[in-house]
Amino acid sequence: SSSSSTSTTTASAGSSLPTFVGEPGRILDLAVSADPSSIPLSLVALAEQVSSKYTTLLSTFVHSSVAGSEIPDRLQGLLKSNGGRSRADCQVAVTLVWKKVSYGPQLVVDPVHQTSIQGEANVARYLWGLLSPPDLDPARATLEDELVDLAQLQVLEGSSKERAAALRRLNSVLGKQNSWLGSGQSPSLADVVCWSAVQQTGLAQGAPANVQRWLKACDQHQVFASARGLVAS
Amino acid sequence: MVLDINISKEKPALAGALIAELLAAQGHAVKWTLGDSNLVKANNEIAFTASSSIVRYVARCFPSSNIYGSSVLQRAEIDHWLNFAYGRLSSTTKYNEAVEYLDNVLRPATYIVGTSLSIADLCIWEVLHSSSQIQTLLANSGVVNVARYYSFLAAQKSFASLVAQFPAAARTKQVAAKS
Repeated sequence: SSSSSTSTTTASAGSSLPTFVGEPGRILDLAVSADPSSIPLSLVALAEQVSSKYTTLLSTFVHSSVAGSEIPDRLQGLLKSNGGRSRADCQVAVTLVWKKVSYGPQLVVDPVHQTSIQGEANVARYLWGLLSPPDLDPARATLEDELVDLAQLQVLEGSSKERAAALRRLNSVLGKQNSWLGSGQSPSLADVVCWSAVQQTGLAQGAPANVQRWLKACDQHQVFASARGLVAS
Repeated sequence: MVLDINISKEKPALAGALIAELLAAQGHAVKWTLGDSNLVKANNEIAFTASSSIVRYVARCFPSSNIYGSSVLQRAEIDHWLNFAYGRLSSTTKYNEAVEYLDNVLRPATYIVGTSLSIADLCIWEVLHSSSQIQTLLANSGVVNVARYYSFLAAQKSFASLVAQFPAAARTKQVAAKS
C-alpha cells in the first residue's frame, strides 16, 4: 500500500524528445527509488530543470518498506506537478518512490534493455543528459566526469579521510578558475552533484575558503533554490 | 597524429591499453606504449592518469566507435558501472558482495551494457584481472557468470595479447570463504 500525490504540469501534445537524447519518440518513464535517510538534492534540482524543458509528470510515492518510519510531508510530495493534463500529453514522467534501497538512489527507464543505474551522481548524469547535448570537448568533459565521480565515490560513499581529501581537491580546482566547477558561466553537472554531496554529508560548515565562496554562489543561483529549501540548516 | 597512451609496468591501467588495442584494430589512430606511469596527454595543461578517465577521454576522441554507449541512457549506465568497478568491486571489504551482484546482472548478458563491448567491460575486466581476491573467488566459488564473462573477454583478440604481457593476479592459497 502507498500514499501518493500525482498530477501533471499544463502540457502541450507530447512531442518527441530531441535526437541527442537518442531515445524513441515516446514518453520517457523515469522510475527513481531512493532511501529517505538521505535526500538526493541534485535530483530535486534536476527534476525541476527537466520539467521546465519538457512537458513532465512529476509524482512521489512512499513504499511500504519505509511507510512505517515517519516521512515528513515535504518528502511525501517532494516531486509533484501542480494542475494540468494527463500522462498521455507528457514527454517525460519522473516517479520518485521512497523505499529501503541500498546503493541508491536507483534509476530505471527501460527495464527490458538496461540494468539499474545506481548512485545519485549517475542518476544525475542521466537527467543532465536530457537537458543538454554532450560536451564535445573530450578533455573538458572528462575533467568534469572526474569531479562527478569524486562526489559519488569520495564524498557520498567515502570515509571521512576521503571526504577531507575531496574537499581539498574541490578547493584547488575552484582556486584556479571562475566561480563554477565546470568551464561555463552557469552551474554545470559537477556543480549540482558536488553541491548536493557536500550538503548531504554536512561538509559545508568547515569547508576551505574557495569551497565556502562556491557554496555561497550556489546558494544565490536559482538552479539550487528548491533543493536548498531541503537542506537541514 | 597518433594518440599515444603510456601504460605503467608495475600498476598498469589495463583498460587504457585495451581501448588502444580495440580502437587501433578498428583503424583509429591510437596506440599504447609501456612507460613508467599511466598517462594520456590531452594538451600541454591536461593529462589523465586514472583508468576511468583514460578510457572516457580516448572513447570521446573516437566517438564513431560508440564504445561509450550510443544513447544518454547507455552512457549513464556505463558511468554507473565505472563507479561500480572502481568503487565496490575494488573494495577489499565489499568485493565479495559486489561480485555476487555482478554475477546476477551478467546471468542473461554477454556484455555488461547493451549488446556490444563498452568501456564498462574494459574497466570491470581490469579490476577482475588485477585482484587476487577476485581471481581466487572466480576459481573456487559459484560465481559462474562472472567467471564466464571474464574468460570470454580474456579470449578476445585485443584482450589475449595483453593477458600474455600482464598475467592475472595470483590466486591466494586459502580458499575465500563464501559469505
